[in-house]
Amino acid sequence: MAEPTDVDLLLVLRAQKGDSRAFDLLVLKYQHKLASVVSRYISERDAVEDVVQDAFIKAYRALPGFRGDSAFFTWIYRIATNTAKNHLESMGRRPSYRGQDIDELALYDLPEALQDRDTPDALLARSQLDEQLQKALTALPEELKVALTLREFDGLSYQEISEIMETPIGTVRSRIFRARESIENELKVVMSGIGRHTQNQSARGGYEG
Amino acid sequence: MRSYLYLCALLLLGAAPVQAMEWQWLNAMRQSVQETNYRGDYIHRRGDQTNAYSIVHRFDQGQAVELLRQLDGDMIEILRDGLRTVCYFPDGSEAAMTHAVPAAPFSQVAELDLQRIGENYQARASGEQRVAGFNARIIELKGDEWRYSQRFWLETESNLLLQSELISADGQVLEQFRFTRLEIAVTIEDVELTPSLKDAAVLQQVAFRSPADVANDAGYRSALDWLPAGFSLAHAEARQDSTGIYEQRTFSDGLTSFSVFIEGLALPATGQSTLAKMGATTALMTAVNGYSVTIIGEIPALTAKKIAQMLSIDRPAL
Amino acid sequence: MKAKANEAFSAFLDGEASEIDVQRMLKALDEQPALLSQWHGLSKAKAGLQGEVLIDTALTFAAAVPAETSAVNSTGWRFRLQQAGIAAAVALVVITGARYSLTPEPSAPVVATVVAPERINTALAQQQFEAQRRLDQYLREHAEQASFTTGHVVVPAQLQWVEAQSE
Repeated sequence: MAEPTDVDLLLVLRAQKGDSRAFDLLVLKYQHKLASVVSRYISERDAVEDVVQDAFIKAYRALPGFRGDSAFFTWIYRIATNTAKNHLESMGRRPSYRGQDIDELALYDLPEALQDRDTPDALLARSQLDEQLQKALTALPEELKVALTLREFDGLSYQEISEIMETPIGTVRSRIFRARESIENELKVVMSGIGRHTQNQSARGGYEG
Repeated sequence: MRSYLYLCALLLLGAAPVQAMEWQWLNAMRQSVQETNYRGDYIHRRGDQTNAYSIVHRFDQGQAVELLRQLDGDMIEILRDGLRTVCYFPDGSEAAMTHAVPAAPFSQVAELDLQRIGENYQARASGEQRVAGFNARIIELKGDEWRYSQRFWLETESNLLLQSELISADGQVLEQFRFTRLEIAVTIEDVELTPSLKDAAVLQQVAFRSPADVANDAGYRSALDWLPAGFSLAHAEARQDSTGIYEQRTFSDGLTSFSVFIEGLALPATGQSTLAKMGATTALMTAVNGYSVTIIGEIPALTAKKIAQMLSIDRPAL
Repeated sequence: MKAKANEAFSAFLDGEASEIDVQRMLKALDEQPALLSQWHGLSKAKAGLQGEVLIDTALTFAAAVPAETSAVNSTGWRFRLQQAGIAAAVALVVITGARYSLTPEPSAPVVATVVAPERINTALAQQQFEAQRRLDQYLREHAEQASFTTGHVVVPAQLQWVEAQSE
């Protein structure tokens, strides 16, 4: 079996030559993963988005120096964590607990200031999303659901899935796409509320959204 | 448990100075770090740098098993099982073989010398605060001008260390360890203690930790004519080869350490020195009698400077 | 064909795309920029199932990147040192930094030596690089010993020393 192409590297090479669409694809692929990583450092949702965006911008600028010694994701993972840490430091040298200087807190029992993602609203939103995802998944036609489940929850490759489902890889690929498309349509309303910008407000000109 | 509560009451009333017995809370803290089941993420901030780790710790039938994962940098995983430590390095990690092995604060300490700590520091309770969703009592330790102060945030029920800081004389926080996410007294499944890199790792490093030998630096060519009060020799090793001598000593006052390295390599310019810092760690590099001298530790620069000034090498026997 | 490009993107998310898929995707994006938004939705569908934190960076990214192209400016300290075959450039800056004299010399102030790139002498840099490596090694040894009694000694992933002013 032929060596799988390192598509990430291909895209980086094209981006290095000036193809910004190639870089866009990398952003699409890794943005949420990086957001999860950055969330370990920073709780405010808006700040997480800023940091991830910053990280991608830094990576884009640093592209010429990327030599492919490591995987693209490893490389940008590091950039993202460094950016997150810089963000923390830029909020002041003295460590503060929930934005308050520690000395001032000496003798008081602090009320628990909940993190952004732990606010009742955020928790509810997340669990609602999960619920909707579950519902959308269950509502899928059988063969689409099986293909997607084998991929997302069992981590199987397309080859393995095609063997299990006894269909050509092309069919597997198509089923997984249609499953995702279906879920995305079901959840358009729920999910556009999670991100900071709705699909209608994309900043790139000429967009229908 | 009862003596701990009594002690806390004492501390909260501002009783000072305390006897060795009344430092049991420190032991309770150390024990808790090792004997509680917990999982969470923590950050370790040194000056301008922060690193994040995730940790899963289980204590079962007298044995502690822990999986520590570095969430940035080289992303290594460390599995500790009793005295055995195994490090897993992901594909492409730089300088993997010379990597130091991180550990959660106080997790590797076998026993604290409460007597000595009590002689070198004063303790004072300074309130309560919430950390990672838990209530914590803050206890501050202060010593003389030759060492840094420390603060500990202890979870009120389990005494688990939730946060700790090293503070300079002018109140600057040099280093901070802090849990950002934590669950205590949970059931830890085996799968949580299985390194994700177990099969994919390129390199592994296995080490067995042996109890420290009694330190002895008799016959060394170098001598420290001054030490800050309360510090004594904790470890010493020396060797000699074609490049000259190598003498290493580590000193501790029960809570703080520094190490002195002497090597038979001359620096370009004798008399010129360099001072560098990383978080609370001070490094002083200089030359004495043509030998290179390096002092590294969580001590103020003025302490390192004085040690270096009062250090002699190849002094004729008296 | 749009369907093929969509499937290519979906496969790309799974790491199952081929070179041809890349061409398809790029061509499709060129012809229909609106696809980015659709594919963004797909990325969320996948990431949502994986429990990741969902954000909209892809939609705002292009506007945020300045118009300059990727012409790289590889001048500077780090680049020259890499040319000289020496790594860990950041550390090197530090070790040539603040110097001071142990013996009391009123006429010897603390000198912060900023070594300009043009004046780098490879031999000197090599020496300093070795001194830096030794320092890092000492730190590891110290951390190992100190961990027996001290709580705070943890060596970070990337060692970065900072010049210190005399206290």
